[in-house]
Amino acid sequence: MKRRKFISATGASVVLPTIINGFSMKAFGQSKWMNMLAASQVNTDRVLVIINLNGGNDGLNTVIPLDQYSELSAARSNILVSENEVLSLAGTTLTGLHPEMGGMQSLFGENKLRIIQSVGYPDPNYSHFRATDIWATGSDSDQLLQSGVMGRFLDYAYPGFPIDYPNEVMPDPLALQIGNGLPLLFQGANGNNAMTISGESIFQDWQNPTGTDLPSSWAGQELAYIRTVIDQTEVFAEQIINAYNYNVTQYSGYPAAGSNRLADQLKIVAKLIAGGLKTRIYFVNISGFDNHSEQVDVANHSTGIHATLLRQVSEAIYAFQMDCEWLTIADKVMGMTFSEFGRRIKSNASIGTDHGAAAPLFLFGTQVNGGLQGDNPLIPASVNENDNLPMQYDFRAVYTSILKEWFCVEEDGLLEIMLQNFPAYPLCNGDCSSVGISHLAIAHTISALASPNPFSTRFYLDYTVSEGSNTVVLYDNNGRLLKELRSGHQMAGSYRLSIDADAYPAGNYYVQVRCGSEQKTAWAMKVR
Amino acid sequence: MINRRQFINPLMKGNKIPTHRGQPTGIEPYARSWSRSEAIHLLRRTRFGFTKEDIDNLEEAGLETSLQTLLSELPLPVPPLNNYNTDTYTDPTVAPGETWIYAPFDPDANIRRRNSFNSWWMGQYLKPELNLREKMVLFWHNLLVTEASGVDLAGWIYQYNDLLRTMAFGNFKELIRAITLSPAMLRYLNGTFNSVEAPDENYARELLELFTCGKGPDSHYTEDDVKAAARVLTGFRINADENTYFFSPIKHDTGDKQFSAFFNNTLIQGQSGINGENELDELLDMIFSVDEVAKHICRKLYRFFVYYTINEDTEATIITPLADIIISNNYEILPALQTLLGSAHFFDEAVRGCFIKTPLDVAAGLIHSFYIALPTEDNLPLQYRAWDKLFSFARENGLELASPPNVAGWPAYYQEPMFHEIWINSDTISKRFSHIKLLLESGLVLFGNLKLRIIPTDIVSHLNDPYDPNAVIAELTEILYGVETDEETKHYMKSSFLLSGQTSDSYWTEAWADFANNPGNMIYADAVNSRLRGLFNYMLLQAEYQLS
Repeated sequence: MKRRKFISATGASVVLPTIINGFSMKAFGQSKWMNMLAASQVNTDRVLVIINLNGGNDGLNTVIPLDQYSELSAARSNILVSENEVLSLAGTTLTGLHPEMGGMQSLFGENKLRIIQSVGYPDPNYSHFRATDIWATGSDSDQLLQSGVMGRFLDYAYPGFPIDYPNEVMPDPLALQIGNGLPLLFQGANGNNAMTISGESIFQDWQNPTGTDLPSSWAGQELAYIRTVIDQTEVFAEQIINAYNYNVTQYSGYPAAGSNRLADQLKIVAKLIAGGLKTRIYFVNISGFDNHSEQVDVANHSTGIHATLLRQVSEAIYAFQMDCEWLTIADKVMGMTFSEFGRRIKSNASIGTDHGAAAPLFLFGTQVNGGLQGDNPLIPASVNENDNLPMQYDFRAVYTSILKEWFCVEEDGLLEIMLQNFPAYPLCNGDCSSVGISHLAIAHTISALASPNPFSTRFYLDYTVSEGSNTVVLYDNNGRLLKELRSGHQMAGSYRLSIDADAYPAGNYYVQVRCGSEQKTAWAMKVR
Repeated sequence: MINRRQFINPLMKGNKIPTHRGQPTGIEPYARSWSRSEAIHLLRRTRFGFTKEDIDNLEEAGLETSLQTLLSELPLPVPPLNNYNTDTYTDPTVAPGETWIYAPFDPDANIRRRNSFNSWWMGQYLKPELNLREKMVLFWHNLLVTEASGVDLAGWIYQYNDLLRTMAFGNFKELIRAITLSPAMLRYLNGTFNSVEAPDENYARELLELFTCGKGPDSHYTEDDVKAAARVLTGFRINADENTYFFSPIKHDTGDKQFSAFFNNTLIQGQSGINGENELDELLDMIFSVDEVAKHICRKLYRFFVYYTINEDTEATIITPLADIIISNNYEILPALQTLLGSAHFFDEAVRGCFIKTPLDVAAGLIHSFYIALPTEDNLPLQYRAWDKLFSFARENGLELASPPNVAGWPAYYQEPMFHEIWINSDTISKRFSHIKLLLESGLVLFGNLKLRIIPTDIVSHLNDPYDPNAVIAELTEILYGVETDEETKHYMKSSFLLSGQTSDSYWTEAWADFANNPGNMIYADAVNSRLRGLFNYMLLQAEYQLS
């Protein structure tokens, strides 16, 4: 039998009946969960759109560190785009975007795009499955978690879901995945907190839920019957259909339907939000980033598989942002991209790149504080196949920032959701004053420099910090955390640390100074 | 007062029956190829749930040997035991771990023993034996109905069940005789009150209407036949001390009993004294000389094993010839089962995958297919607790073992026009899904931290090629879905769930290899388990999983 176009595969879509004396009842008292919602004090209006770049996006080919073009050339000349084709970013000459990302370049110019450099986590994992699960659960690299960051957030914001849902305050799915989802991102205490729909076709097929593809056999009859019953239990179906059919005209500049699946998905998202659906989080994805080979066209490095994907991402995000503004919903919508890892600094012989570590992450929207967060990644002069970009920012700090700044989650909630303390960055203009949270971070100034560089057994780190608590850590070229060199409170000033690397092999090393929400990374190379 | 059920019409116009090359397939032996899909179809219809190894066994064995295995006589199971002593309760006569089936009646013990029986019967469906008998026990209980609340004594409830099991593959006429005289039935349908002063027609009516002749267009027994039969049945009483019957001549109606033309105008002469008991055999001889009885039981078998549509073609091609086999074998059931389950009709393409799973198919099926670990008799309270949880699931979904809603049995087997579609409504489908999700996610709690849970890698470890994601999907759809899945859907399942959106099969292969080569490594186990959990959350919640 053909696959159902309308997938109701999750806990979000089936209401658990309450069993009383063997009779099933859907019972809820109106005041009970209104109290719950009041208790959580989470902003109830804003929407987050998560765009998964599935496969491991090559960050160095997306956000290009122009100040190290010659190092890039030495490392990956067989895929590197030509310098004069890189799109410039307003306000800087150091960093640019891939030639195909004109839409996002415009958004950057309008202060609606924030680029966070080198997002990753300590001891990165290079397996798609494991890395994806780490990004979904927010776990440490060696830790196993069964729930997802967004699952825990939705549990916090909507306690007890799905019991007593839907209800008048929240009649809609908490989260909606269009197309393939991640197994764990929305996993909460009671199951999956997101609902999945397959795509736009379900709205056309709604008149004919069982499909026309069923044979007229006994089995076909029974299948049709069961599907009809399943559809009746799909408590959110009506809500979604109504929101989708709400009469709005969308922005006319989307790519042609079918030519850009990500754009198609985002177009649906915009329509649902404009149609009044109260869903908080949308998840869409675009696959194909796992370019071990033929990442670019040999004749013109600005075209090829990765270029096409970046163009689709950029066009989709741009069209979606324009549509949100057109539909006057832009102030409550923020988008983010993520990928399970970046790719290797050095390209391989198949004109591709292998799995890497840290990579840039994008946030977009009218409420986003646009700009570049972080420094260009440091490309060593001499790179071998195993070198990877170290993280500057932990992805869990990005989640924390979104929860705090955008969804106005309070400190106790942040710890409950993220399970550890992470810093929060001022990513957006979000006003949480109604729930009494100040989101302004204290500005710190940091610098960090390693010398001598290169070194043979030991080197010095000279760093300056402003007053406050700081941490200094040492990573190897795989992003593996080797040592925490110091942590604790210091007065403002300059300091020197001596780092003994005698026991370590030759190669590239990174020292990161973290102070509040800011960081600086210094690089040093050990030679024999 | 036993509730009446509605008029049943076994003959329905409508749907054409399966044909092969234009000829309706009949009860002639299935002679086309024997392959994996035939083995699976046979398993679906003869057992509530099965494993991949069961499929392998039957595929290799071939049809004839498979039927022999499924229809063989196994030793009877260990009876229900005292699993219910606690800190605050002790059974007065039965030690923990001993059977209570012969114990004297005790009101406090009785309710516990009844629960014990319920759990125990459910437990029989969780056993691995490749055999049809336990499913036949349900068939018989659905036909020759007693309700536990109407029988009440746990000992009699068990005894009745044991009777159905012992005679499951036996002689239908002997079985009718045995249930007529069973304490459970004598109590349930008031046989034990049936006296010459005031004949109680309850059992006589159901004997004719439900158990033997039925009420189809060709069944022409009369109200007077019911009254006459009731008079024949006067005088049978329950011997509670010995859990058997006795005959009370002074309660027996010794007059002559005249039956209608439907019964050949038979006259059963009244006999006094202890010989009055012999009238029962004359009554049964009379009833079983009517061909309609054989057809009635065949229609019941058809609806239980094949599909609910019975029209004129079905009557001609299947029911009548099958009834002939029953009659020519003096009402032995085994030849009819062998014929039906080995027939071309049974294996016709149109018959595959059209059966909606009963609650037992779901409850037991998940345990079997996913190799869910169950507590053993080492911990009797826990073992019965697990069985009880599944008994409760089936009950909440409309199938309470030993307690059909009324004397007509479970409506899915007789209520037109929906028949087995009755198992599925928006309430029960939600419950089925909740049960599945519970097993996949946090687990079905037995006590405290002890749970029943699906470990997704268990089933995949048993597959022929767990390293190849295409083979994994193909084998899983074969085991779990009653109907074929098209390539597009299989591809969707593989890439969305096993590959997490990647394009290369090698990612699954490597992840599985890491898991298989590093037992005890939780990170590798988790990587494959999360993907499989996502896959099963999708697969088991599709309509296809509900078909058999």
